Amino acid sequence: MMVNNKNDNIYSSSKKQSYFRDVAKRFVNHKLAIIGLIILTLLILIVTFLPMTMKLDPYTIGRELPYSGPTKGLVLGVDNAGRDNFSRLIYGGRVSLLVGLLSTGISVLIGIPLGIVAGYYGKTIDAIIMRIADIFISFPSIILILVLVSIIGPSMWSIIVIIGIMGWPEFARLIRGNVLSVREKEYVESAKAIGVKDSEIILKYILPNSVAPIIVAATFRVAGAILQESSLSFLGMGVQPPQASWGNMLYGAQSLTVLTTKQWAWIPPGLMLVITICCVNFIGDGLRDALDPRMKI
Amino acid sequence: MEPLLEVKGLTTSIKTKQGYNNAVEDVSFAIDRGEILSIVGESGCGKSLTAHSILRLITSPPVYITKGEIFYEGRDLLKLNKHEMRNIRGNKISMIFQEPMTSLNPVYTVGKQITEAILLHQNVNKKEAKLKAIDMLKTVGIPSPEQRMNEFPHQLSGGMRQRVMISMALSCQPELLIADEPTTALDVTIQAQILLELKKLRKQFNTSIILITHDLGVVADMAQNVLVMYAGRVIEYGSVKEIFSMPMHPYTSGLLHSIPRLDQNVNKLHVIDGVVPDIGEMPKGCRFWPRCGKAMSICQEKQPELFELQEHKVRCWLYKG
Repeated sequence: MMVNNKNDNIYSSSKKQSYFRDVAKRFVNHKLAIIGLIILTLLILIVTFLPMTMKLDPYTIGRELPYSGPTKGLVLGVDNAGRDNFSRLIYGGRVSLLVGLLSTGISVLIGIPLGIVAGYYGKTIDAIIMRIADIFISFPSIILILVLVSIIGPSMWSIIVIIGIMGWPEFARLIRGNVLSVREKEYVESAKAIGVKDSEIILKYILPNSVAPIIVAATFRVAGAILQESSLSFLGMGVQPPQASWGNMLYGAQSLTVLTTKQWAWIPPGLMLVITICCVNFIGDGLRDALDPRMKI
Repeated sequence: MEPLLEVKGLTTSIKTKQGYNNAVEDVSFAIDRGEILSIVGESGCGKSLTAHSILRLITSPPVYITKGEIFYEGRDLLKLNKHEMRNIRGNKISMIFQEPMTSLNPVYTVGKQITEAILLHQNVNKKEAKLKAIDMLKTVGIPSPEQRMNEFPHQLSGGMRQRVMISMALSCQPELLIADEPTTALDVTIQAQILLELKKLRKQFNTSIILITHDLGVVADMAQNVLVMYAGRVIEYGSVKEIFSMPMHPYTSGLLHSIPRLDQNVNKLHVIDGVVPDIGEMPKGCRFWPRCGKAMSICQEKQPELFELQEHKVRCWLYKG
């Protein structure tokens, strides 16, 4: 890793240093992560603003014959119903990113409190929460998700919620493990010795000292959720046409003739998936290195 | 006058599959305002556990206080509920731990941590608390405290961190400070400075201090009274003067003989053979007899009581009657 420590050593205390400034410095030095962040930011900007500025229309059917190739107006051709592939690609990006971020958010919001409570209080509460987590993990998740989707009905929002709820045990386990080690630390004991309340110990001592790996795991989880949504849509149980997602674009291209002769129908969404997931994973890598306080700037 | 803290027959046990093992057994002592009491003994003899028991900072299970009373200003700490106990911690009794390197929260600046401690225990606003924190850092001898306030624990040296710990413990203005080997992890020069600070604070605020250590030099320098512990029991209790000039228990005199002396030419240091017995396999009778040079037959049979000889208490059959 590039080391740039001419001005930074531990004695330069005249400058107000903070942990997060250090983290930011280490992150900036991680080239792949920065590239990932730039591309992902561009992607988010594109899927947010392009539909409005270009007046994209992903829903009108029969613009051309099904699976027609690229033309001037329709740069990526049309899909099996004659809808504009390019517009669908952009709208599909919205869905994928939204599913990735929101479902991870749900998982984190469920997993962290449960994991902290389990780890901090231990005993019965711990046993109950962790056994429930085990039950969740022991089901093959894709099958369970399929069942739940068929009960609730497939839509973007139900998929977000279901993937989100299915993802919490990972975070609960991760943070519980950290809490178990952090709660034995001397600074927690000394906080108790000066009479700090339980709730404050959790919020100010336990949480900040055990949350770093969660941030990393969450980024990887975003990639995982995007993939899960794609596989669900690919199986026809995810986001339903006419709403577009990268997964159901691939689903639409699910035949040998299309795969061999109409590449414009499936290469772009596949490529977007690969790029997005790589970017998210690079950011996760960068965060993992940056959040490790043992790494010197 | 009523002592500030009086511990009576404190027994702390560790629950195992075989039953309860008494890691601290029948420990009694008292401490007055402004007094420094030192608890000494080998590693694993129950010093720290005694201190933790006073603040009820033990993790149960597996550790339980099974017997005894701890009176603080006449109130039994063992009968307080969780909430009342939290008010005692910090406000009345505060503690400094052995490990200065890891006793501070790594994610906040030391300034913030001290300020929080002050806000927790004193009725002041944030700005005043900050000024007080700077003042506190000055009191414990940290140079340029305004700057240090904004630094993180990992940017400070061990001695500095221990001073920060002390300033945090003191910013609550406790009446009793329990210092659990406060200087063990530090080098000798820093050790001397920290001890000096503790002495100064005692003078300034009339704070009582329980000083846990295994360094008898420190004891002689700091304390008025000494409690010698062995394998969870008090074996000798008296004033520093008495115990250093005429140690009665063979263990205490062994400890004192083990101190290397600069004014004599010795080829080999005196050692007490053997180690503290394992908690599950305590010998019958006096717990020290397997290592004792003066062991008699009664030592193997019956546990001696704490015999009282004037101001000096000792748990050894040699002094019966």
